[in-house]
Amino acid sequence: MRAGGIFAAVLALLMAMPGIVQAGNGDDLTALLDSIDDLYRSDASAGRMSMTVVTKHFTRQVVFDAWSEGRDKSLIRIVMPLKEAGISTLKVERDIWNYLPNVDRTIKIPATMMAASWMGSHFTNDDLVRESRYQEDYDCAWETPSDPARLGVACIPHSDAGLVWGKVVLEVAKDTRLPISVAYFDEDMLLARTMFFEDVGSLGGRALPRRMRLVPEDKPDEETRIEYGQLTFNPSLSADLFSLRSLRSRGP
Amino acid sequence: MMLSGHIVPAWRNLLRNRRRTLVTVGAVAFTMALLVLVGALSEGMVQGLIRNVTETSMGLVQAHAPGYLSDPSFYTAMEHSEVLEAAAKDAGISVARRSFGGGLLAYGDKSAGARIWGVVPEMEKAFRFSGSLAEGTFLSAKTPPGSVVLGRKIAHLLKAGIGDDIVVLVQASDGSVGNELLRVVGVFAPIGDDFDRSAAVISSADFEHVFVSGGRVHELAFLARDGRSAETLVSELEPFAEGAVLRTWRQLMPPISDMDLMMRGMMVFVGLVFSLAAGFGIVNTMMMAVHERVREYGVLKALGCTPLRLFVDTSIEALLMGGVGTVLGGLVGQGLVVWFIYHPIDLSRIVGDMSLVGVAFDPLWRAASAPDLIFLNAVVMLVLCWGVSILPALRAARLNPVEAMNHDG
Repeated sequence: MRAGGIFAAVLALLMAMPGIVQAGNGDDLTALLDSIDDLYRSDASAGRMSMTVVTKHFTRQVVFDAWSEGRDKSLIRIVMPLKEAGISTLKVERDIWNYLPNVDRTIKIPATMMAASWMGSHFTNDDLVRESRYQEDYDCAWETPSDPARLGVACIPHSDAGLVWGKVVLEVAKDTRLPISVAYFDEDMLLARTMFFEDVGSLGGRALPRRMRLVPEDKPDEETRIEYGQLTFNPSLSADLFSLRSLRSRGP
Repeated sequence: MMLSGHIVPAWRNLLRNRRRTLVTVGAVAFTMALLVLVGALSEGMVQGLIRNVTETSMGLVQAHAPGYLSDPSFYTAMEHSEVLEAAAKDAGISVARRSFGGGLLAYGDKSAGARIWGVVPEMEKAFRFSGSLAEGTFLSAKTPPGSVVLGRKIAHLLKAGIGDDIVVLVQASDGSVGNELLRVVGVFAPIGDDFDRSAAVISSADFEHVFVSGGRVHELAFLARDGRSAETLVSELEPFAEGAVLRTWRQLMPPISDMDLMMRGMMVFVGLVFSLAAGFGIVNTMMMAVHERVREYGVLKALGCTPLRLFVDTSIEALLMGGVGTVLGGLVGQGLVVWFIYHPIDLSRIVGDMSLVGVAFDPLWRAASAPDLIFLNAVVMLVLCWGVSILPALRAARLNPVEAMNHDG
């Protein structure tokens, strides 16, 4: 999985997981990272998930369908609640568009709004588009994990990679090679947020974490939870699914 | 009596070399006139800027919930804002109730982040920005629901004009996605950099609808145009400001406040330097005068005139020159100031749209009378004129009568 692209990680995680498992032929860091970086390249997925956002001021649940293809393309369409049903987000490479059905308009998210929250969650728009590869954009090294049953990897982005993080620390289960947590440190090397991977179970025919929780460090009572309902790997997706035209239509 | 006994001889002495006296008095007068004029122009610039800042939209005083300004969260709203609002109305203070939220505006394929203002149009009439439109109109009872007035730059960025329907996309207070079509009914004239770039002003009812805002009020702005100062307003409103923090424009806009203080400090410094230059003119004149009169002083001393008397006479001569020059200069300067009050300098031809510290600037530069500054300049001038004349006065006082009478100067 990718270091910066939390959101894409959510979508593509399940393609990445088997990669980690396959790479488990020893503790060779390069092999592990290579497989993480490469595995979901041409893969596609389709699934339904629910996102629960807990903040000091509100708790809300959104159910959405999501499709993804490779690193660059994804489409998300809200199913619930009814007030927001049909609101869709299309991501192609570094661009994001939102489609708003009740005003029938498509909006491209400008660069200045990249740090803004995506759909009221703790994810930012930037999380949707950020592209990075551990092998190319980071210097990674083994780090002592918080638990002997885990592997720890600390990755520091190259200064020219344009990443907002100062450091990213992954913890991976030794036996299953499934990720347990990713901690994001800011430029001052202070922990900014942590993503937890939980509830390992069968998903799309594989044993994978079915729940992800993003917890901001400065608001420990808040979190955004994403739970997978169903997931299909390599579904047949129509060629123009990831287009503005399809964004405006109701179906996939 | 005592004094006139000094002044009359001093005056006579001054008239002995009328041309030289005239030139010296002229130099002092010219300096003083210049100081009065420059002081009034700088005062006018600062006052214009302050009026701009306070009357445009900020007001003299603002109220917010504690912590709102340092971290302007949508949820940090004022409690009991209605109490403060009523108190302001009772005290004859104009007040505007505002709510703010961040959002995205889009038109066609353009989009831009905006600061969305929820306002009560009627209340904003007291503030200049509501009447300062490049096109269209401000919100009113007549504008239909869903109307928006845009800052100049954001309208330009969106390429949206009057009658266009733009999309507003926000995160509502319950976390849901708020989105609505708004029709542009007006575009503001330049107000200030931030405002021009980001403001989208809608009615409080539309704000409530888009943000599910629950009646949250983030700001009350207070303005009085009857000469009451910001500090006076604060003291009048403070008893009613439960759960709200009151701040004056000086606290809200430190750069403008600093500039005000800096300009005043600079004027005092300039005054000092100019006065010193004029003072040197007086030193020169007095040196010459004393030098010319060495034999005369010798005779006076021989006749029993005390050194103190000579010192005082010479000092008064210098003071008289400085005083006449200062009064003349003050009068001429004040005349020029009055001219510039009624005939402001139009800077628009030179600079076009101008903004200073992010605030749109009135291109008409009016002088403003600053009596305290004139008084200070006059005092400084007189003190300096007297101060620099000590040297020649001492010389006169210390003369040895025998040597002085034999002096061949």
